[in-house]
Amino acid sequence: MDPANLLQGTLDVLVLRALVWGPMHGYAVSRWIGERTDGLLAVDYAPLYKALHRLERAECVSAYWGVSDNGRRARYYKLTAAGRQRLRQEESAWRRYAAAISRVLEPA
Amino acid sequence: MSSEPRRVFSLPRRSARRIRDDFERELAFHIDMRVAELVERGIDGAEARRIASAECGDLDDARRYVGAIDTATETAVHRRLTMDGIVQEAVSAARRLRRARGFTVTAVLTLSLGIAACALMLNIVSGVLLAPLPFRDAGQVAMIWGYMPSIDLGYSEQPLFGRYVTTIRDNVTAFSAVAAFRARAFNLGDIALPERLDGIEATGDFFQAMGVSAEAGRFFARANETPGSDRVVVISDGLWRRRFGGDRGIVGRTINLNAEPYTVIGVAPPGFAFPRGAEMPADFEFPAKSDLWVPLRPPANGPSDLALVGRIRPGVTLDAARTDLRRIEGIEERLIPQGKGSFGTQLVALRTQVVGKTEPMLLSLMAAVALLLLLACVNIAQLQLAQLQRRRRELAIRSALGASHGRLAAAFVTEVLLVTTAAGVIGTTLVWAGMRLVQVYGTDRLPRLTDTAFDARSALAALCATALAAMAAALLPAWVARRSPLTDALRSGGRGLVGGSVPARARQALIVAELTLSVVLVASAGLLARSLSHQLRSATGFSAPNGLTFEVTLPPVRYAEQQFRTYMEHPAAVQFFTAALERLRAVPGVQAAAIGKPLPLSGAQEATVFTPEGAPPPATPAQTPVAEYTVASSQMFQALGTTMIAGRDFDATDHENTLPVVIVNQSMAKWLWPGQSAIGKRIHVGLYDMNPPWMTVIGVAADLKRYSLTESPRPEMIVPYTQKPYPSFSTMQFVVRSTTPVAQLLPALRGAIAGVDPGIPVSRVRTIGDLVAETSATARFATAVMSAFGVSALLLAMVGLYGVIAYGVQQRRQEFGIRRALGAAPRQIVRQVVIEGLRLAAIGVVAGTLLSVVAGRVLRQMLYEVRAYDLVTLGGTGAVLALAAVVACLAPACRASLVEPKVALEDA
Repeated sequence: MDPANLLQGTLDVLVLRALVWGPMHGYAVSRWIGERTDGLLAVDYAPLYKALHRLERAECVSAYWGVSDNGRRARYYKLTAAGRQRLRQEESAWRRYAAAISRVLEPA
Repeated sequence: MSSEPRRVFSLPRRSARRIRDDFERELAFHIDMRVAELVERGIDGAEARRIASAECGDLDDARRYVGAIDTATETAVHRRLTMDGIVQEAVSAARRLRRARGFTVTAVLTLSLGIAACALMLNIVSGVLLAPLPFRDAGQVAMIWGYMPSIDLGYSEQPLFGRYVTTIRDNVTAFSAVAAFRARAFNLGDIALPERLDGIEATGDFFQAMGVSAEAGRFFARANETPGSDRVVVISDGLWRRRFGGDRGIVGRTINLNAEPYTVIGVAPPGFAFPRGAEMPADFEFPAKSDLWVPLRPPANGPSDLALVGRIRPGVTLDAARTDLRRIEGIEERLIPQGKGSFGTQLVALRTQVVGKTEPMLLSLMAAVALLLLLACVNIAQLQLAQLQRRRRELAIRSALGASHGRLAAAFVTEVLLVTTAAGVIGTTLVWAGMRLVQVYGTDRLPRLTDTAFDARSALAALCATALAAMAAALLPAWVARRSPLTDALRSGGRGLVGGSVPARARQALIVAELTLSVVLVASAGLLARSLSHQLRSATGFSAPNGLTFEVTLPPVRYAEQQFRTYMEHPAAVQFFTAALERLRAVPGVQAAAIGKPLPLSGAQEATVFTPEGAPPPATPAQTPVAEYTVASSQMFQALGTTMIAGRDFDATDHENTLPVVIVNQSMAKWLWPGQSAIGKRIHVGLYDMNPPWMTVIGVAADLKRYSLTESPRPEMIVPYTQKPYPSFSTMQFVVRSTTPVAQLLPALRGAIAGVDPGIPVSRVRTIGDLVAETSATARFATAVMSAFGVSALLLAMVGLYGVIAYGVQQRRQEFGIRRALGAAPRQIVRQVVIEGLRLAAIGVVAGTLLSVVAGRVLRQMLYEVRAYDLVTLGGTGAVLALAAVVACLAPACRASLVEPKVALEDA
């Protein structure tokens, strides 16, 4: 799938899903998405950070400055209760959508 | 990884630049990590950096997008955290306050009292003293009165003759307008059901001098002074709305006044009711407020019964106008040479006239309120200090847990704010209620109070002042305590010893200050109360538990009279009064009924020059003796309960065909004929060289108070209305004494008057008690307010003392336990504690007594027969304070005496 066509809502879900594992900085989020999709989805930084800050504004994540494993200051993002709820909604919506699409594509 | 601490109140907001930099740092971190990852995989550094930047996407777009979104986030988060912080702080402050219920209730009540008293006085002072009079260039309006330094008539503002208006108009250039006016009662409406209205007769330039504009129509002018065009009337806004429904068509309509047609030409502006009785000299007996104004032609002759008001030309000062006004003295002296020395004038700025006499009282009360507020604040400081002592451990723990001084101060401020807010709500309600009370209670004697409504600005100002003062009072102890290291509190288990630590000594100083202030306020209230009781016990010369007075006004159309004529010239009026008295006396229960003009404490008094028989001629005409002049019927002394000291009352034998008679008062008898009987002596009205009929003294009556309870008696002559040689009959006052309560009698009395003439309404019905009450209303008002302050001050001081002693006892439980263990009786311990309280009270009483003498000197204008250093008051105040101190100490003292000896063994 071409990353440019990645729907904005889809990217948000991916980010939220990544943060379920705990607070992460942006780079870790992009690594997680890359690893989970076996490199199938490589997200550009620009849309990734737009998504992160958008989610912060929507209070789905909270951000703070912390220290990374290699001792550098990094901005960490943490899933909030609102974020968890949003993820649950988006997940089920996405599953229904994916099921519908695959039913259409399946040979009858 | 560290978690971000949530900071309260001091949340720095990120600037736009800072937001931008933060994002760049975030991106740089990402790229660096990506490059490091690629290098780890064996890719060359420069190549890795190229790959990483290729993966970026549209970074500029992201920068714009993130910049905007972060700014919004920043604002929202900041706002929420601040609100959260405030709410959190308020909630925890409220929780602390609820735990310290005693402190909270006391502090709230103390402050409510302070706010209410302060706002109330501020409200009254700003309305009465500070608000400008509702006239154009009100500073240029002044009253003109006569002034005769050689004669003491008991009041300084003397009426003037009508010819003065013309003389001033023609000769004194300092005034752009001058007008004379006097009170006149009118019966409005048809004969069957007339309503009595208080009106004013005024010369043409009256409204021009006052500087007001008509609400509707126009005012009368000098042209309306001439007969033919003088049957016009200006009505008050109140009358217009009440009686005529605010109909603008009223202008041009004709109404009946005293059975004569008058054309309404205008409506006065809302609130205009000049002159109001409370704003004018009491001896003029102007109505409480004026309802209508009719033109008056300046009388060329007739009694001197006019008040004059003038508008000073712009740019001319009051002093210059006063000098200019003096020129009429010379003109008068040339006109009437024998009156030389009796034509003095005085010019009084209208504001001085209206509020001058009230000003010292209001300012005294304002000063008292300031003292009370100070006391309230001292009390708050006291309470806060006590709180602080009690909370030393808590504060020490919070401090040890990392709360900064700023944070602790914020906690204090929040507590005080909560307390002040609660007090503000209660206090404002009290002020609102208080203003209504004051208006019901004080309008007839305090000038301008009718115009003074509840003023939210005053309440707000008082609230802010009190809040600030309370804040200072609450933070000061916190600041003092800051110096004593809080960690000590942890070690010592929070025990402060009375007499030892700084706060304890501060508390003692504060309580002495409280006691001192309360002594001053209690003593001031005591002085005013003593003065009032002297006034009420002063010999008025009359007493009638069931006495009733009322007035009737006869319309001149049907009861014609001419000035300077004898009884024979107005038979209709005399017939009316004679018939009315006959019917009144026939009412069952009536013991005596009489007319008098005026009755004591109820009206303007005439005074006249007279000549006693056989006295040498006075050196100058101005030295001719003067006496009060009263017209009365028989039974007046009986109805008033006045003692006849010698001789007889008037009776049916005293009429126009018999020998003219007169009754004199005791002062006059002693003055003219010391050591002799006055009976049978003769006097005549007028100067030495005049020749009216001699009047024979037939009786001597006790002195009557005429204008106020504080006046000293003056010579007075009383003549029978059946032989009356001088003033007007148009308005006459009745007095009735009965065996039954007056309220039951009133319908029968109205019936008796209506039986003579149904068109004459009975008005101004007052009991004899009302007369005394109205006259002493100002003194009562001041005494009531000051007493309220005194009682409040005493309560506050008692609360303060109780707090200090109770705390001391609590701290010294162990000491008391040891004493008990060593065999001290509970009574000894009680005595010891009470004596400690009394020692503090004694210092306060001594200091307060010294200050009270100063306060008494400030109040001296309001004191009657009481000195500033009145020993009874000061002694009584000391005793009250001592008693209060004992009461305040008793409960803690008992608690101290109940300490079990085993407490001595407890661990401190």
